[in-house]
Amino acid sequence: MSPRSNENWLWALSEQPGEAQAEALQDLREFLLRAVLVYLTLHRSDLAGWGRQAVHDLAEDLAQETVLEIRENLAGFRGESKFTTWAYRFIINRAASELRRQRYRNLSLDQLREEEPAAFQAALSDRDALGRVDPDQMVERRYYLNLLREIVETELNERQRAAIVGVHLQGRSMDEVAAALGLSRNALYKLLHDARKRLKARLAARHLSEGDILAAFEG
Amino acid sequence: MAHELFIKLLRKIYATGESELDCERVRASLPAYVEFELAGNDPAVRFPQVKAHLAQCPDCAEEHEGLRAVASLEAKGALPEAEESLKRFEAEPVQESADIGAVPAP
Ligand SMILES: [Zn+2]
Repeated sequence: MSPRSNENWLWALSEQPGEAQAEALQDLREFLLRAVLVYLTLHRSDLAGWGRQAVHDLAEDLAQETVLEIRENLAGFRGESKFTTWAYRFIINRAASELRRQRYRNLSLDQLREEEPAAFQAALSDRDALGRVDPDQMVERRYYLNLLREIVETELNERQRAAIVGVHLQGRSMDEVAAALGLSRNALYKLLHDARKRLKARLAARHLSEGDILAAFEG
Repeated sequence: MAHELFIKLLRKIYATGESELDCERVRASLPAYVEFELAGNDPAVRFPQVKAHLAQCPDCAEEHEGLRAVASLEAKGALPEAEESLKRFEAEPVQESADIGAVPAP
C-alpha cells in the first residue's frame, strides 16, 4: 500500500464506483484491520481462550462494519488529523465496546442498588490500604466515608446513585452501567456530571477541601 | 482496589467543571488530540476540556489509550501487518506468564 494524502483518501473514497474507489476501500479495510488487531493484542487478557481464527473473524467483522460507518461519515472528516487516525477511532470505539460487552454479566439497576452499601464499606476494609493505618486515621476515614455516603443518599436520586456506585466505586465500564440504566453512554455521562456537581457543591457547603479529605485516605 | 477507587472518586468530584464535554464530542476530538500529544505537546494547552473528560470517563480514556497506541506505531512506521498480530493469538490459551518470548524447541 502506498501512502495516501488526506486529499487522496477523500477523493478516492468519494469517487464513482470504479477501480480507484475499490482500491481505496481495500486499503482502508487493510489499515483498519491492522489497527484493530493492535488494539486486540493490547487487550489479550480480555480474550483469554480466543484462538487465531476467532480473533481474525472478530477483526474482519469490525473492519467491515467500520468501512461502512466511515463511508457514511466521510463528510464529518474536517482534516484536523491524518485521515487514518480519524478512521482508527471508529474501529477502536467498536472494538472497545465489543470487549466491554464480553465482560459484562447482565447488570441491573436493582443489583446496583443492592450493592451500594457494600461498595462504600469496601473502601474502608480494603486490605491493601490497611497496612500502615493508625487508629486515629481509621476514625477519620470512617467519618469522611460515612459523610460522603450520607450526602450521596440525601442529595442524589436513585439513578445518579447507581451510576456513581457502578462506574466510580465499582470500576465498571460506562457502557455496562449505561446498559443497566437503559441510557446511552452520552446520557450516562450527563447524569454523572450532574451528580458530581451536586456532590461537589455539598462538600463545599461544608467547607471540606479536597486536601482535608484526601489526607485521611492517603499516606 | 476499592480504596483506590474511592480516592479517585473524591478527586473526580473535586475536578468537576460547571460544564463538561460529552462523550460524543470527546470521541470526535480524539484523533487531533492524540496527534497533538504524540508531537510532544501538552494536550491541556489546546484541549483542556477533552483532557478533563478523559480524567472522568473510563470508557473514553480506554479508547484514547488505544488510539494513541495505534497512532504512535503508525507514526514510527511500525504498525504491524495483520498477519504479524494474528500470530500472537496462535498459541492457545493466551499466556500471560513470564515465558512469553521463550524460544520454542526446535
Ligand atoms: Zn466519555
